[in-house]
Amino acid sequence: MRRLFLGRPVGRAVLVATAAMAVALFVAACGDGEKSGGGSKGEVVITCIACQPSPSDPFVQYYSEATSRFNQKYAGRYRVKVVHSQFVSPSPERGQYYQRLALANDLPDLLLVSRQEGLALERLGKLMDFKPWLDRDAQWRDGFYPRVFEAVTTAGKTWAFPLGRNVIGVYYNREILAQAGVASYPETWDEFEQACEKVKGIGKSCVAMDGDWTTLLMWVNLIGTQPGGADWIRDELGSGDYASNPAVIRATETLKNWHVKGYTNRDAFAGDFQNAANAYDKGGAAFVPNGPWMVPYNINARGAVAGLYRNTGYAPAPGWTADQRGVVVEAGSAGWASGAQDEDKQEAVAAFVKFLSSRDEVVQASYRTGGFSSVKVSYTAAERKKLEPLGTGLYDEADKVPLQYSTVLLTGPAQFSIAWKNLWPSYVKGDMDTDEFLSRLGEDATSPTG
Amino acid sequence: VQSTVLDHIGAPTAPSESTATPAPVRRRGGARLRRRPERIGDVRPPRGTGWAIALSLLPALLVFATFFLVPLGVLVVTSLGDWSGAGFQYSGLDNFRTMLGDDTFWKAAKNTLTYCFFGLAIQLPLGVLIGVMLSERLPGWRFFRAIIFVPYVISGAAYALIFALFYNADHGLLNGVVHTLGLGEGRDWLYTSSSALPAVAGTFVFIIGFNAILVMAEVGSIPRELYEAAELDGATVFQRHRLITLPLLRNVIGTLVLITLLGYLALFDVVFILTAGGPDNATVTLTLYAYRAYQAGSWGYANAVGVTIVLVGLLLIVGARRAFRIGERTL
Repeated sequence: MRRLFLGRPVGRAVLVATAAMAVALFVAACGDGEKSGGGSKGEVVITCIACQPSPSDPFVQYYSEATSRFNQKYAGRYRVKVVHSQFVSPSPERGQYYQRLALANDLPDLLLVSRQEGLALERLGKLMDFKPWLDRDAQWRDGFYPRVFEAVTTAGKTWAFPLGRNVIGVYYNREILAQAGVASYPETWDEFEQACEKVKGIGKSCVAMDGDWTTLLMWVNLIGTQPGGADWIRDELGSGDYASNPAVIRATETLKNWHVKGYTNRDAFAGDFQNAANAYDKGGAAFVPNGPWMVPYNINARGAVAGLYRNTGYAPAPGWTADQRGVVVEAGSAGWASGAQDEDKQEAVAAFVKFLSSRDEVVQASYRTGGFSSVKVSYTAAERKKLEPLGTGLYDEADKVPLQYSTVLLTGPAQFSIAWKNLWPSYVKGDMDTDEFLSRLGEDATSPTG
Repeated sequence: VQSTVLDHIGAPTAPSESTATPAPVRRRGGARLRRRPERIGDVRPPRGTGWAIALSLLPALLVFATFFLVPLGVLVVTSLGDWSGAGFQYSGLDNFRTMLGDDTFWKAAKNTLTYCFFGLAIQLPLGVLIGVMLSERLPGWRFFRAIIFVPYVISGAAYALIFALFYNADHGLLNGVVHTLGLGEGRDWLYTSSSALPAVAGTFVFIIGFNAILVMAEVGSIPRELYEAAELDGATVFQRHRLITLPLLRNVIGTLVLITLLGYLALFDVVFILTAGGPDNATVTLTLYAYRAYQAGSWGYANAVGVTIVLVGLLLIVGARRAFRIGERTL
């Protein structure tokens, strides 16, 4: 016996047992936990991040409701088990979280990814290929709009399943324009600037911006409506060579001048969409570029200024000439991906995305989110009545607009947004000229070290 | 005053038991060295208990190895190659060469040092001053102690969001105050290169609650007899604190210097939320620089920056410990 602890005699056996228990507990804590939970016999259980209810993200909320319907429909065969996570909506942290899961071979069977996040996971070789499942059902495959899978296909492997295809235009406040003496929505960028001068004259901001998403939407609008601009966005935006392209230079300088001339909200650089949304929602700005989801969650929401929804119009972007207007069409910038490796789970995942792309669900999704699907759907008159008229109007009009182009999220380099947010304020405030800005933007956006 | 009680403050005392500072001894050849103090580790355990002690230590060693040594080893090893999760390719010191040749790295290093400077020049002295003042137990001291400690318990992210609103160029409180005072329309504090870094630093250099509380605790442990003797000698309050309190706070001030430096060396959340390092890297820190590399998929490069941060941290620890003789008793 030794006097070791608190002066009490302790036996060797007790010591050994205590140490052994500690080691056993430690080893047990390091063990692999249950991955997907058990289902009833024969039922394939797949895990899902982004199937949980969300009070703030309309898309995630819809997916939560759709998951319940899927589980009901396929009870006993497939079941989606919801994995609650704080990293559901797009954020810089979400991509890191996914990468950590991928490295630990612990990716869920269903997760929502942006294109950039999906590309990073695909480089790790951790994502399921949807192409074989699409090829097994030609009718299903051919029901999508052309080219929606292009952005999520690398070397013949379709590593994500895009469900959205949205037409993004410019919202405008008719009341502000009328107060400023602007008779109609401008058709050219010259008219737009003339309208901005008038709006500025009544003490309002002309166009609401945030330094990131909305600013970049205007940037691609200004590029895409120039001759060859749409092709450049599709084919060359990823190259990082921006300083030598006249269309890019012209668009960049025009956008900068809007800030310099005071057409934008003063807090237009934070990279926080709420800054742009606030400016428009509170009736402080005449224009804001954004997608159809802005109607239910901003323009027609409780926080918006009274009458905003009634006074809001939604239109394609002006052009450099009246016959060369354009819209942003976003398809494939985000979608479902899967870490499922075995055949049974992949089958269940394929069944889930097929369920989500069924006509009923596509219509439901449009009702709930205000967004539109990558699946070709003709809405009935009754369905149209339930759809948001602002979004539907532009969606229908888009086919008649001569120019369509994508967002920078789709074709830009991985670090584009970070580089833009870092350099754009300094450029606008005169710390660098256009050539230096575009050169550094290209370098930083494509830098392998960020 | 200075020739009586105060002369003895800070002077090494005679060695007694195992806690006293050992007296310097002379080595052959004249070099001074300190006699190694007797430590608990020098006492041999009773015969036959070595294995039991080793076994008892095993769980802690396992935890230490798993959560510290292994990650540190991974950090160091992966900093020597191209690593993106898909594979690892050894490249020697290439990451470090690239890093040292990158202007943004040096900008991040300079900014990190500037944040450290703000911490040492404003946060630390202010914390010490307030801590000493509160230890005077002036009326309402408990209330003020609670008030100044509140910001310390607010998470960095929440704090940053509050200040994002405070600095907002359109409807921020700061511009409102500037406008009310007739100083113009204000400015875009966070997104103008010249004001971004001071604005970011301004969010945290006034979080002095932790420093003040630590100083208060240390002041409380100073024998009252010293102050009474000084008072009898005719010392004013200012003299008492300057000549008694401050020298006796050497240990805690040294510790606070260390905590401040290491804290700002790892500064991330506030900067990330407020400016993400912009505009034009005016506020970027070393950790944010590493984060960007990680985001870009260059994990080996990010870890090379991480190794650099660890090395700088070690240097700071050694330097501050030596400069302030942290751990050595004053009385």
